Amino acid sequence: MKTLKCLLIVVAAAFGMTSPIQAADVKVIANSSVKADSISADELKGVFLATKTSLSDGSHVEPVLEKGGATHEAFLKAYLGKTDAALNTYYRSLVFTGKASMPKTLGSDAEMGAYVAKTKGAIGYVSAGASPAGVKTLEMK
Amino acid sequence: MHRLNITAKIWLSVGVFVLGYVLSTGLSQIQGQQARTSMQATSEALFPAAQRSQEAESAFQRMLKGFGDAVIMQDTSGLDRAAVDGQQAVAALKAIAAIPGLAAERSGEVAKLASSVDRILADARSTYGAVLSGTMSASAQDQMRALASRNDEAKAALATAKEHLAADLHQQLSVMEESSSRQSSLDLGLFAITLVVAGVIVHLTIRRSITGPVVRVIGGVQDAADETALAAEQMAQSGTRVSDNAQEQVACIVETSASLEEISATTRQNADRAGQADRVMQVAHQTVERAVHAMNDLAASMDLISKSSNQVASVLKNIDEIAFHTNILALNAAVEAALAGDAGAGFSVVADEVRSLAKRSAVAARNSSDIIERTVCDVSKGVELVGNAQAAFQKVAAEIASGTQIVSQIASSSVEQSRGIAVIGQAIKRIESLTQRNVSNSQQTADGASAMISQIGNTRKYLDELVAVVGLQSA
Repeated sequence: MKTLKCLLIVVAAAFGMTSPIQAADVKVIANSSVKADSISADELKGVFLATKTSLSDGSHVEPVLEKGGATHEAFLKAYLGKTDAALNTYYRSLVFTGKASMPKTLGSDAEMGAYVAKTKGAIGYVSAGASPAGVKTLEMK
Repeated sequence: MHRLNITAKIWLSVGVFVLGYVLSTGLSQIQGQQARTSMQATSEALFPAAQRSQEAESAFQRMLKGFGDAVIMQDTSGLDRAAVDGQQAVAALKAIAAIPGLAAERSGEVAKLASSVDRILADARSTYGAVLSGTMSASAQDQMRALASRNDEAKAALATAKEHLAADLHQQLSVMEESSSRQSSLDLGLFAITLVVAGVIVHLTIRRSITGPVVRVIGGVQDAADETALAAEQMAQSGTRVSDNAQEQVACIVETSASLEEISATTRQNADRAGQADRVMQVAHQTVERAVHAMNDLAASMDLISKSSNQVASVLKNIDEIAFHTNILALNAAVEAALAGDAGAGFSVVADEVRSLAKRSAVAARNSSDIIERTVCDVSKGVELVGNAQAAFQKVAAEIASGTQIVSQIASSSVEQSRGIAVIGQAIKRIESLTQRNVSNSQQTADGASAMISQIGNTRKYLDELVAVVGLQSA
């Protein structure tokens, strides 16, 4: 069963390489309460894997994920290096051990934009083309 | 202690050693019994408790992992397997709490833990069951977080309990080890003390009762051997000298024997000559006796002559008196003649003649008297001489008699001497044979002394070996 899963992941990665989703397809957005204007890839990974709850400037952050879709897949692949299933398992283990709660998940870029705009410290992502109102876009360092 | 002999002292040392060994063994047995009791308690209570606590912990961890896997992999059947593990953990904890030999504090702690784990198991079953059957709501997440905290607490409590039990076991084992070590040290100490005491007694016994006397004996025997060697050497020299002297003595005795035979012969001749002299002296004695008789007769004759001469002298004296009276008468006649005048002239001549005759008679009588006196004198001298000669002859006779007696005694003495010399000769022969034996004896003595010297050499070698055995440096 595990072998089959691994195989599937490898096959998916192979297909991914044939049609690469670039980091430029996704942009990271944050609530306006977040002081920083840019974020490093490591910081971003730490925030979304619940190993960091605040940025280097001291502002509290909360990761927000989309439920699925190309943008979600592109974000996971570009910044977290995990599949959605692996991330789900990862978060369930954190919840089981009491180290974190399951992250907030939203259905679309619009919901994501609205939630990030109203939630203090929220960090999310939308497709590069979207431009939700009331959020700030964090540049990647 | 001093009254005991060597065997008793050695047995005493061995006895002390054996007593120490028996004491040590007895003590070891008692301590061993205590250790066995402690070991039994450990093996029946602490060891299974520690083992069970480990089982409980691993079962609990398996339970946690099982629940975690079930939740993460969303595998409902995993919950049942995890529950089985949880029940195993609870059962193990309950078993620990039920162990009779365990401390009440520890039993209480484990029993509390068992009920806590039991409650966690029930809550986990329901919480994780709900999570797996439905969505992971925020309340479910809170419950899971609370459960996770309880899990951690229970895990920590289990680890603590396990550590406590392990610590108890370890402490008990340490106590036992310490006790064993102490016992071992005590045994070793007792044994060492026993060994030292026995060793000291043996050492003192050997030194005082064996080595000391042996050393003294060796010293004494060495001194005695030295003295004996010296004496034997002197004896050998003395024996040799005695032998040489005895040989010289034999030669002297042989010479003496020869001289003695000569003396014997001479003595026999002397005896014979003394016999002859005796006989001659007897004859001389008879001759002298006869001479003495003759001298006696001569003395008697001389006495008679002396008496006759005295008688002649008295006659002459009478003649002289007569001549005196005649002279007086002549004087008277002359006076008368003178008074007669011429008538008396003739008469006065006659008176003168008579007077001259009287004078002549008186002179002749005096001359005769002188002659007679001289004769008497001579005769008395002759008598005296005869008396002297007689006395001399008597003395000679007496001396001859005594000489005869002496010669006779000489003769008998010579005979006895001859006999004595013969006896001396026999004695000298015996002395010669004895001296010969002395020669051989003194040679044997010298040989014996030489043998003694070689034996003393052997004795010294044995003494050196003994000295080496006793472990002393050879003096």
